[in-house]
Amino acid sequence: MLWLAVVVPDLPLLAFPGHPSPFAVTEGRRLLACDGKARSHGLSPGMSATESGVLCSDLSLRDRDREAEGRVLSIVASILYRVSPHVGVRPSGAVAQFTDQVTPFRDIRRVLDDLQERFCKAGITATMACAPTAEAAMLCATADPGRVLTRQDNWREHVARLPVTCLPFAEYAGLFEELRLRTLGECLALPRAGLMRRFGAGVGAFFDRLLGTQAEILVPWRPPVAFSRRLHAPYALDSEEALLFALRRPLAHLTQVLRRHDAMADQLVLDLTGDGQTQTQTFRLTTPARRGEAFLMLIRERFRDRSLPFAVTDIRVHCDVSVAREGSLTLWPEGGVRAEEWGVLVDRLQARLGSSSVCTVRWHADHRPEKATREWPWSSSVPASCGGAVEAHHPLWLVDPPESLAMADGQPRWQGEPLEWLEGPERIESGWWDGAVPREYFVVRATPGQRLWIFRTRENQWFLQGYFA
Amino acid sequence: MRLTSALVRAGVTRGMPVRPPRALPTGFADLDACLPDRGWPQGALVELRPAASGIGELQLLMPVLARLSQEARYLVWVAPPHRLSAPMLVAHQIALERVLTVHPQTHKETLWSVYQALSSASVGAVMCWFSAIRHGEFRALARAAAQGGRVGFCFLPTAMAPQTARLRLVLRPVPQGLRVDVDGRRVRAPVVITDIHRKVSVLCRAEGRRRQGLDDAPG
Repeated sequence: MLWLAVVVPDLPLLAFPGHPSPFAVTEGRRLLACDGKARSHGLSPGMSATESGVLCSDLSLRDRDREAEGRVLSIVASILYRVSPHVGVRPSGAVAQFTDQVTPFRDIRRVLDDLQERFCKAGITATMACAPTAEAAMLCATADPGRVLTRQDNWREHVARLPVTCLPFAEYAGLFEELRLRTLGECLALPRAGLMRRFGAGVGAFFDRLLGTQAEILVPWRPPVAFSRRLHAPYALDSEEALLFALRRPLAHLTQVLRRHDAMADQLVLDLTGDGQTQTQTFRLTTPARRGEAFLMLIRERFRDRSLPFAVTDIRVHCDVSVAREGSLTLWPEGGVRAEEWGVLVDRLQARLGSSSVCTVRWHADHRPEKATREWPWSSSVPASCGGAVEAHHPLWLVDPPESLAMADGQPRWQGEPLEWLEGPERIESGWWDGAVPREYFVVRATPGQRLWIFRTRENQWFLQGYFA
Repeated sequence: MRLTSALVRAGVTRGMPVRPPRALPTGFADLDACLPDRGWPQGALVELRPAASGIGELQLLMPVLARLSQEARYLVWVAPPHRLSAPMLVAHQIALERVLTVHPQTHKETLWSVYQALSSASVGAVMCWFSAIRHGEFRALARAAAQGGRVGFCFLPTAMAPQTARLRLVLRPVPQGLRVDVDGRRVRAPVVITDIHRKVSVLCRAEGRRRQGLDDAPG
């Protein structure tokens, strides 16, 4: 058995593609990694952020983004997946396993060169090494890149010569120093019971896995399933019905793929080509569906009124099937059915009217009425309301932006009619940070009997803000 | 042959008479007493004719909307003429997560949106505004409301010819409050809801105090 390990030393930096230079990534106000230009200013990992700002004034700092790092690691894993089906992702890189039986590559060095080239193309600087255990390969890739150790070599001696600084136990670095342990061999020579008492069972288990006395359990990485189909129509599709008919088969395939992976899809992308033009249409579902046909309804609504932009000859259907969520059965089916129907209604409305025309309202903690209410396009991730206490005497209808009122004899008029004063003034003074001025609000009655909410600015201009509907 | 004699003949089975679904209380006792179903009829499109904006026309709907939103039903507002004020909806105990506002561009899209909303089982009430609507279009929407069992409120300008709604309310401001002329097929009576605006502010104050109390409570 042979393990190949890939370590990405600049992983925190790679999470920010196209970052400015000099640049550094921080974690807990300490530098975690810095680029070449920052290093030339004398910065190094472990420095405090304040100190680095003094040394290098134009330094750009960002907090560590573990999610983006995960995306980089999944690129690494997908490249490794070319050479082995047994790939696992580690916090700083990835490992791949070759079984003794399946060694299709005679020369492992050629594999390494090929992988290195692919990593370069993907813009990832990576170091690699091979060893009979996964942990040994990871340590070699960190401390001794390019090393290939097989069972035939005296690989345990090579590992024993590695420095303790390459161990993934940063919290014990001081303790190793105190015990004057420099190489792994010195650690391994210590009595195991004492070592485990001092460092904990985790370190002992690590050494067991390192030396191969305990088997490595690989949590396999699986590539995300993407569904992609190309269709070439024998004749130009110029109507919605023809397009839907053509899409029926690929969407049935999508259903099969979803079923096979027990996955769900919530987004479908259609690339329509014809007459030398290409148009991309995206269709989103509020609740992920297990059936590809769920998108047919959305496609129908999108093209219902407007004809196709051009006669379509080529269609590309693309769908990310990464949403693998366990569908749970609800205890009360009524509510479940209702929620599902609601999702269908929102999807339909959004498909036809555009997602920005289908909104919900949220209350924000702000005294200015026009800022207190905000409309958000409907989605599952709309933030919750954060309003404060309810204030009385405010109207249900808001005029946005406020309507300027004409003046006559120093008094505001609405539609040419004088106003009858009912309540006020109520002063709302807020928003000095974006140039808003204090306002005095009044409740007035217009001649036909409407109640209006008007305000006066400091410049004595009058505006209509709302209707007491 | 007359219909009545045909119906008594053997071999003609008649289904149970269709019982209209229970009406939703409006929250205003005087108005309930005057409405043919003693409340807002479910499965019907109610025609509302406010004389102008700002006479308390939405206040009329607030109690029923609050009830529907607390029953986890969605409230769909299609083509509202102004923006809804979120704090005031909360003051009327309407859950904002249940509010959907739809802004269609064309008349056709508005009709379609109302139709879709009225046909969905998850929706509690649909509020829609039209500056003009044809009889056939209104009938189609009313049919959708009847099939879906939803309650729809259609706001139309007063100048427009009357539609074929089961229930039509003409709203006019009077010094005491809001005058509601119930103008359906069966009933014809005016109701005056006195002091509709005052009622609201009292409600808001009570709600505000309740909220304050909740905020002060530990946990």
